[in-house]
Amino acid sequence: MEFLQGTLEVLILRSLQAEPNHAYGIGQFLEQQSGNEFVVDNGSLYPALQRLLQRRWLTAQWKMSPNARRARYYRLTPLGRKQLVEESSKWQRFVVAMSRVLSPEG
Amino acid sequence: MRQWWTRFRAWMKGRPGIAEDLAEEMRSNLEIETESNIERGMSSEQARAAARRHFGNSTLVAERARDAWGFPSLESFLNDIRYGFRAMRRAPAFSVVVILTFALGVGVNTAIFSVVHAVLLKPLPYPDAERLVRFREANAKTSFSVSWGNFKYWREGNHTFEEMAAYQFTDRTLTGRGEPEVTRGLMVTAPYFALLGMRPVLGRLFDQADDRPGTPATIVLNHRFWASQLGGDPHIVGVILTLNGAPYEVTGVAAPLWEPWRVDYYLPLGRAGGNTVNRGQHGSISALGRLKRGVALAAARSDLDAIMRHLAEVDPGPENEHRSSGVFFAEYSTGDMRGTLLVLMGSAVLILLIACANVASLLLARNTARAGELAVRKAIGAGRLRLVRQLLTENVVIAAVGGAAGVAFAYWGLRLLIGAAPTDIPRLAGTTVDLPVLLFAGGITLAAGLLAGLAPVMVAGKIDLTTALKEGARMAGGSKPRQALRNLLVIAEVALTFVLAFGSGLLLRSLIAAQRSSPGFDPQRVLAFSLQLPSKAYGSPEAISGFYTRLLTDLRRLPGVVDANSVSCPPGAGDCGDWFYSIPGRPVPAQNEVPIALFDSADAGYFRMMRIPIRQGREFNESDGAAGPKVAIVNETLARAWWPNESAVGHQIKVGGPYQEGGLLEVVGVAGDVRQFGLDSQPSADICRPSSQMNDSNRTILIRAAGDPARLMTAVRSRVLALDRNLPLQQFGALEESLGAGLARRRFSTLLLTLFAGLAVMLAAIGIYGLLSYWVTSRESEIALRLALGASPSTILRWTSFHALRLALVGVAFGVAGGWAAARTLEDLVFGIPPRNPATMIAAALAVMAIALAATVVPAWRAARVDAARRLHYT
Repeated sequence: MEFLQGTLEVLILRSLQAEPNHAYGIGQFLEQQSGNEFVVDNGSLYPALQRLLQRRWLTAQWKMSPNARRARYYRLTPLGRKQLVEESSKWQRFVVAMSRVLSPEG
Repeated sequence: MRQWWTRFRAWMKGRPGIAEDLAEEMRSNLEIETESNIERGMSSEQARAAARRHFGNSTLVAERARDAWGFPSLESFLNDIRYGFRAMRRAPAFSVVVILTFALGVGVNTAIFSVVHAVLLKPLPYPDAERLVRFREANAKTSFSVSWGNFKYWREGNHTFEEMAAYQFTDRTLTGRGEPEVTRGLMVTAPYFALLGMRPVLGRLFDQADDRPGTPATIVLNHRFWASQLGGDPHIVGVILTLNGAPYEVTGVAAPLWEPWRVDYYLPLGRAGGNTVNRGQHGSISALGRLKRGVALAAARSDLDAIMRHLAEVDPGPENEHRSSGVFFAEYSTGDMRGTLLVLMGSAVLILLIACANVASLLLARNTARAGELAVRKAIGAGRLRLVRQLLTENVVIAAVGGAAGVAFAYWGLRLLIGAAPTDIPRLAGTTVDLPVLLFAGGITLAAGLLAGLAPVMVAGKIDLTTALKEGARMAGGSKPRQALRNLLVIAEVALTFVLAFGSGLLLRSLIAAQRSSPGFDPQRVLAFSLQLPSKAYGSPEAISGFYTRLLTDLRRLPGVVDANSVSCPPGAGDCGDWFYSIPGRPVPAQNEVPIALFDSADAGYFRMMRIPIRQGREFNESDGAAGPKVAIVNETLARAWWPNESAVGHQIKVGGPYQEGGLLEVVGVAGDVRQFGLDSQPSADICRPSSQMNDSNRTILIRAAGDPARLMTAVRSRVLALDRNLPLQQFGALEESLGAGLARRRFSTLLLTLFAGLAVMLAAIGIYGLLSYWVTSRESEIALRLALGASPSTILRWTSFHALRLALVGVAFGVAGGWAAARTLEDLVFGIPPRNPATMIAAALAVMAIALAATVVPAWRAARVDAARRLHYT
């Protein structure tokens, strides 16, 4: 399933809510959490990460991964956290509204 | 905003950092994925391959991620510019032709625009110059000077002006500093200086205190006059100058400032005229004012009109019907060049359009040749929009190079232009290629580049991939819409060229007509000079007539002189003064409809000497003395207006009309019309009276020589100085030369427009040649086939020429329609023929057709020589 316009960014923010992660980890997280419904295309993921960095919702840092490999870890900034709260509530309302319309009456 | 800033900073710091980070990040993530694949039990090769597959096109990912940090459109734009230069180098001959064409179009436009800018558009160098206006009195028919009385009411009673000044010219003889010299002064009221923002460099300018009756006579010098005539004397303040025998104390020298007139000094007008109370007493005063902010010219006019209406009630008189008439000072001071310059600017734009059509056709041909390249670009994934943008950018790049060359060309051409221009065009000398001109050049270059690129690009956008890739250029070029577009371009070029050829034809014929037009008198071998007898030395009528009689007697005795006579206004010299008149016995005209005629005076022998024919009655003679009955000779225009079917002789004329004072004159003769306002003017009503009854102190002496009049000059000058050594000779020279000089502007505009038409014809010829060559190339197979089927080369020749002829004919048809419309804008410049002159139109059409046909000769000949066997063999 393709991502709807603007959804990838909020999903990235959500994936970093618990802990920092690298790009591959973020992709894995999104695919698993969506029950493999979402396919994360690197051609979208990397530019999206760059955009979030620009907006200062994320910071990036080179760190050692658990299996001792150097990787670039992304972490939510306070601004990003605020954004996540706003965006999630917006999407939740959107989803509720969508299903109200789409589901049969009763 | 902030995001743009971070992007910009990142962009400025350069991509390397970001790019390296990104590359390393991608590599590390690929490793992580490979490792997790191995953990899931794959072999290390399998794991690596699977990770790669899953990762996708890493180049594309990197590029798109990088783009987030940069300005992708800017970068692809810069890329396109690089492409543009590369494409230019790849086809040098093509590029040179296109660049030269653009250079020509942009150059001509830039040069003309810089003149238009300097003469018409640039604000005058005064504070709030756009609010400066010039006002005079007017009736329903014409405008004339404002009287001092009315000016005072205007200045004090208006609600629409910030400030108002009066000014009036005065010619005075300066003596006591070497040779006597006639100088031109401007009498102004004190606010004049503030209105123009004029400041002193020495001493002070006069103020209200110096500008009232009874104050000592003061004078402010113009900077140029002070520097050239008075040697830039730093101690000039306080010096006494003698003008017409009266002393004036220099109070200051004004800083240099451009004015629409050339004056030597400024005198206080209020001091000389401040005592006048009669509203009807006119000098030749004009009012200069600065409107209040936000006040329209019309509002100011009705404000002053209201004052005039009120005055008509409380102080009735001959002025009752007078109102005000005003123009913006900028418009007034640029005067009658506006029409000519706008016509030239329009013609320059036509040249640019022709250049664009030329370039468009060249590009069309070239892009067809490049169809293969374009198709490949499209096949490897360039979007249509991207392709269009790239082609347009390429065109703009080449246009920019051409435009730069054009500016250089304009810079150089401008010198020639100014050199060839008549010197009396205001502000022309200050023409430069400055910032606004450069902006204009940039603007039209961009517009021309886009315009010329538009047609070919529209076609390129529609490239049919498979055809183009398979068949190559040749077939892609022959498609129907392209051919139609090309034909359209030829038609447009021919039409535009026709309009220019027609316009220049009209001006050329007008110039010839003006040069051939009879001035109404014979100016050959006539020497002329003007004298002003100062009233101090020549106070009485006897003194004046005594002087002139003695001078003329002396001059007539000089060897080589056929005759000599004096007039108050030399023939062809323009308006020396007009006044109201009426015909007793005819219905009394309303106050604002009183007719006006030129009034002048001449000696008895004047008409015979100048070979002005006397149509009715007689010329002046000895009986028209000071004591005799007051008589006049009118010109044919006036006689025809009042006595079309009878002789004017014996009728009476009332000087001043029914509402102004003035005596009665008896018409004793009717003289042929003289073109008083120049060779290319129409005659206007004229009333001439004998010198003996007028005794003008200012006259022009006309001398008919037996041989070269220039050889008489020394003798004539010495005769004058022998009588009065304080008397300067003004405008001393051959009459024929000053008449011819009156056509200088006409010659200039005709020269330029003819030059433009020549350029247009040249461009159009190149364009038509190029298009037809291309047409022949793209049809070689067809031609070969026809030849193989038995057509003779001459049939092919006819077929090709006919194609060109048809296009040219359609172009001329459109051109005739355009010329018909354009003729109206030329109306003011055309003389002696109607502006919609069919003969000129036919001549222009034939000329353009001939050029079009000539341009087809080579391609048609090539078509006829197509080697059928070889051509068919190859395809």
